[in-house]
Amino acid sequence: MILLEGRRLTKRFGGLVALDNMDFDLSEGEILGLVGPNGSGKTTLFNVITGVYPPNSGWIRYRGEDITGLSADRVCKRGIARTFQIVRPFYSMNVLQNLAVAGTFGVPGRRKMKEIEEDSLDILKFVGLRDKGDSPVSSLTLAGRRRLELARALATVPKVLLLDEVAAGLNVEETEAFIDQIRKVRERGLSIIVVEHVMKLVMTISDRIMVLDHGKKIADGPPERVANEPQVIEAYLGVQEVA
Amino acid sequence: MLAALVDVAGITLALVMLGLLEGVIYGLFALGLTLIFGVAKILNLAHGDLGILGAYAAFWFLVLYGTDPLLSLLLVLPLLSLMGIAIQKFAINVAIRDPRFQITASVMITYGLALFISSLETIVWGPDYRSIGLSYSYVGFSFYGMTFSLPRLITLLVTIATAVFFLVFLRTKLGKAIRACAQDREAAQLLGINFERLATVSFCMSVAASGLAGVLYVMSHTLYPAVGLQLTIKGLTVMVLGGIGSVEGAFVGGILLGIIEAVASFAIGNAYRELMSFLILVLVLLIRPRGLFGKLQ
Amino acid sequence: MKTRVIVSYVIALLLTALLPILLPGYVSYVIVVLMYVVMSLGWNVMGGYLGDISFGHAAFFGIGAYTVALLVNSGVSYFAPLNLLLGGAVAMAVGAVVGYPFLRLHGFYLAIGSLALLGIFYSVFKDILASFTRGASGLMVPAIKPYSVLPYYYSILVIALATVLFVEFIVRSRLGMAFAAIRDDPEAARAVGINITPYRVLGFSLSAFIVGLAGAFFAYYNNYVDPSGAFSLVVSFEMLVMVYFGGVGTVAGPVVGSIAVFAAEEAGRIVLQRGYLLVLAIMLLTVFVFMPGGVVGVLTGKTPIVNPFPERRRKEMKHDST
Repeated sequence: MILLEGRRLTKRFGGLVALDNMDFDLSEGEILGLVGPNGSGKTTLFNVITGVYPPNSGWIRYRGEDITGLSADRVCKRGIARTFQIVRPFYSMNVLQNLAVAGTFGVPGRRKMKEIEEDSLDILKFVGLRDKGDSPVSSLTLAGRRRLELARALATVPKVLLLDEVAAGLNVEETEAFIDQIRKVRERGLSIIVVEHVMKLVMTISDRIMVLDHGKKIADGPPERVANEPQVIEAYLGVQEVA
Repeated sequence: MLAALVDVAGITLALVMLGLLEGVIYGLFALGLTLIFGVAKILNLAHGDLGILGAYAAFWFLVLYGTDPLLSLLLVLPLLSLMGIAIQKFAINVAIRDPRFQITASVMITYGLALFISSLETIVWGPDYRSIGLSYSYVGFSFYGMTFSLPRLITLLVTIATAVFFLVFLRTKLGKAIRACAQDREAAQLLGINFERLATVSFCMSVAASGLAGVLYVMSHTLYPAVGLQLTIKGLTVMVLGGIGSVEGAFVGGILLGIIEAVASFAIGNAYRELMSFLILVLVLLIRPRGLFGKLQ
Repeated sequence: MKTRVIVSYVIALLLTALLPILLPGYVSYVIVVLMYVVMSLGWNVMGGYLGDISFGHAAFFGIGAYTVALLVNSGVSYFAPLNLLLGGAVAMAVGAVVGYPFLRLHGFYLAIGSLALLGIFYSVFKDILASFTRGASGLMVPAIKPYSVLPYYYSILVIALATVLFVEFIVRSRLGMAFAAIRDDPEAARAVGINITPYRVLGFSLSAFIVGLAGAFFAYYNNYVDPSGAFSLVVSFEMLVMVYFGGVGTVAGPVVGSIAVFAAEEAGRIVLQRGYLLVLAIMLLTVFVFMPGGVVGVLTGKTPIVNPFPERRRKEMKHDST
C-alpha cells in the first residue's frame, strides 16, 4: 500500500532548479534509500515533503490526503517526522525534555504529561540513551546527538520517518549500530526514507533505492540493479565507490 | 491658471531640492551603518553619536581656534578612526565571542556606547543647543520660500564626492575583499582573506564616514547630545529602506526619505516628520524587508 | 520544593509586607523597584523566554499609562483596580493586533521594527491624538485619597507578586515548553509540531499586558503622564538592562537587575545630575563585555537560560534505573 507519494514536484530557488518534475512513492513498511551527488535535491525533497517550503508545482499525498504546501508543524502532526542533516536539538533542555516537547506538540490532541514522560523514556531506551535522560545535550557525542535527533523524531509518534544523513561523520561501529537501529525502527511499523552519502549504510538497509541528479530522478529500483546502471555510475563518476 | 501651475512646479522643485540636501546627509550616515552591518553583522547603535562627537570636536576647533569645520576634518577623521579601532578591539570583539548572544551583545554594547558618549557630552558640555556660525552660513539663495544656504550646498558636493569615492573604492582589490566578506564570510576566509582585519578596516571607514556626516550635519543644523541617537535611527531607517549592504541604496534611500519628509513637513506640518520616517521603516519591514537594493537576507 | 526555600520566601514576603512599619523611609524606593520588577519580568517573557528582543516595549508602558490617564481625565472610571487592569488589557490588545504582522519578522528586523513602533506611538500620542492627550503638556492623574503612600505600596506589591506567580506558572506549563523550543530553534520547533506564530503573538501579548500594567501603575504613582516620559527609549532600555544585568533567568535575574538599576540610577542622579544615564551605559557595557550571564550567572556559575522544566519537574522526570 502506498503511504506517501509525490508527482511532478518542482522547486526553484531563483534561477536554480532544485527539483525538476520528479515523482516518488513510499510503500508501507518500506525503507527507501535516496541518493545522489551533492546538490541533487535530496534535502530539498525532504523540505518540500515536510513543509519547510512548498513546491512550485506538483503534489504530495499522504495516506490519500493532499498535504502539498502544508506547514511543517501540521505535517508533523499528521505523522511524518524528519531529522536534520546538521542536528538541531533544543540546547537549553536536557535529553528527556527534548523528547517531551516533541511528544507534547508533535501528536494531535492533548496527552497527559505522565504518558508523554513514559513514552519518552521508552524511546530513550529504544535508542540506547536511557541513562542520558537527565544530561544536557551538550554532553552528548556526535553519535549520541544523532540518536537524540532520531529519538525526538520518534517521540512525535510518526508513521513515516525521513532521515537526513544520520551517519555522516560516524565511525564504522557507530554506523553499524545505526543500520541496526533503523531496522528496528521499521520493525516498529514505520516506513522510512533514508538520505545517505555513506554508501554502505544505504545499500545494506534499503529495500529500494532512488537516485537523484540535478533534481531529476534518474534511477529507481533494488539496490544491486540501480548500482550498476550506467547513468548512476556516470553521475557519481569518481565521487564514491558503490559497493 | 498657468501661474498656479508654475507655482506648484516651483514648490515641488523646491521641496525636492530641500529633501535632496537633507537626504544626502541621511545617506552618508546610512553608508557607515550599512558598511559595518553588511561586513561584520554588527549593528552599531553608537554610529550617530560617534559622528556627533566629531561634530563637537569640529565645533570646539571653530570656537577656540577659528578653524573651518571642513578643515578640522583632517584631524577629526583620523582620531575617530583610531577610536573605532579601539572600540572594535576592546568591546565588540569581546562581545561576539559567545555566539548565543551575538546580535544582542553587539546591539547592547553599541547602545551602551551611544548612551555613554551622549551622557559624557551632556556632563561636559551641557544639554543645550548649539549652532555653528560660519562666515558663509547665511550665504545662499531663496526659492519659493525655502532657503538653500551655502553650507548645505557644500554638504551636497562633499557627499556626492564621498559616494563616488565609495563606489570606486568597492571596485578596488581591497574593496572587493570587503564585498566578499559581506557576501559570505566563510567563503572569503577560505579564499585567504583575513576577516578580522577587514572588519576593522570597514569599521574605521564606517566611523570616519559618520564623522564626516556629523561635521557636515552640524554646519547647517543645531548640535546637542541627544541628536546622535536620532541620527542613528534615521540612518537605520535609510539603511533598511535602501537595502542592507548597498552603497547606492544608502544614498537613494536617504534622498528618498529626505524628500518624503520635506513633502510631509510642508503638507501636514513639521511635527509629523519623525512619524513619517518611522512609518516608512515599518512599511518597508513588513512589505519588503530587503529594501530597494538589498539582497535577500 | 525544599522547605528552606519556601520558608525564606515567606519571610521575605512578610518583611516586604511590613516594610512601611519597619523602614518607612524606604517605602518610596521599594515602590519604584517593584514597578521595575514588574516591567522587567514582562519584558523577559518576550526577550528571555521567547528569545525575541524588542527595543520598543516602552510603547506598552506608555499605552498602559495613557489608558489610565484618559480614563480618569474623561471621567469614565475612577475605580483604580479596574483602571489598572484596563491599562494592561489595552496594552495587551494592541500587542496582539500589532504582533500579528510584526512577528513575522525575526532578530534584527524585529528589533528595529519595535524601535519604529515606539517612535510611532510617541508621535501618535503627542500629535495625532493631541486633542485627547493634550500633546506634550501631558495629562494629570490626581492622587488617590487617602493621601498616603500605603495604597500605592500595597497595590504594587500585590501586582508584583501576581506577576511573579503568573510568570512562574507560564514557565512550568506547556506554553513554557513551546516558548523554550521556539527560542532554542524555531525550525526544529516547527518540525516537532509547534506552530510558531500564534505562540509568539501570545507571548508578545502577555508581555505587553504585564508591561502595560506597570505603566498603568506609573500613571497613578507619578500623577502625570506625558509622551516623552511614557514612550521613552530609555525606559525600553532600562527593561533590557535590568533583565540582562541580573541574568536572563525566570525571576531572580530581573529582580536583582531591577534593584541594581534602581540603585545605580539613584547614585547616578546624586553624583552626576545631568548625564546620569552614564551609569546605565556602564552597566550595559559591563554585562556584555564581562559577564553575559548577568549577576545571577556570576553567582551560580552558569548562564541562567530560562528552562521550562524547573527543579521539581526535572525530579519527577528522573527515572529509577532498572
